[in-house]
Amino acid sequence: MAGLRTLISLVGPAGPLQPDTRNAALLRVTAGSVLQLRVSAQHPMETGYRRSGAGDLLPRNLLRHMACRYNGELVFAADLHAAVSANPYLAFDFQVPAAPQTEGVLTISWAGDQGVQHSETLVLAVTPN
Amino acid sequence: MQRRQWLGAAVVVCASPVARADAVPSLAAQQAALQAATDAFVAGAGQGARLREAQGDAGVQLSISPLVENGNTVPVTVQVQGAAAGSVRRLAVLTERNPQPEVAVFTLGPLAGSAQASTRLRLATSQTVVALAHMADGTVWQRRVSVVVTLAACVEGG
Repeated sequence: MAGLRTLISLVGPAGPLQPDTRNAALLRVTAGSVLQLRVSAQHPMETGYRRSGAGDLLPRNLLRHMACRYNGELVFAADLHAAVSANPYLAFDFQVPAAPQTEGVLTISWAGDQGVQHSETLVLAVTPN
Repeated sequence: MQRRQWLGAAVVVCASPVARADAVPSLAAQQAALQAATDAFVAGAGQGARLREAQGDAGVQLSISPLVENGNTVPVTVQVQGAAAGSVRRLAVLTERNPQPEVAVFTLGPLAGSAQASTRLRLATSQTVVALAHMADGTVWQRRVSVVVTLAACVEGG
């Protein structure tokens, strides 16, 4: 499967962060703040237990793993099994490092059955608090 | 295909005797599988890990609706309230009566902002949902919550 459609939103105390008006891939965040990341992917999460109308067992097709990294450092990872709903949704909190960086890259990567590999990146512009 | 026909077909797939031929494991077998999955999580917490039952506000919390109308997508949140940064290594959600006990295992990295994670899961029937939290000190907290499901997820064709 080429291109796993992934939706990512970063939510601060005042609601979802809006992308920069001139660059849709850029988000402005404050150093040291905690933001909630909400990630979902468009995927059937076929369990391998169901049968088609014709009675054939539908082959298992799951997203097995999601990892979220910021500049290569782990934020959150999830191992997923058949009991995760279709179009898997994950929400977790991200601590923006306080270190004086002006820019960071947040990467969400997926791996799954049938050779699915996909990553999405978000560029964060970090402003000191 | 009209919606009515499609709905009819969907009900047939869920309820057909052919699908039921995949033997549903006994409750004892499912509980043994849950125990094995719990043991595997505790083993992953290293030597000297201790399993403790969470009570009241202490330990791990599992937020899930006690009465679920649609077992196909059930919001669930696992968290350890008031946990210091870095004190929670992993969180897990397990079920008692799904075809497989494991639902999800979450690993909290150095940049995790809290000891909390949410997802949506499938429930094959009314059952107990289990949350586990692996703390940095080797404690594994466990919390069990009973959930009644009115429309089960079609996970096993039965």
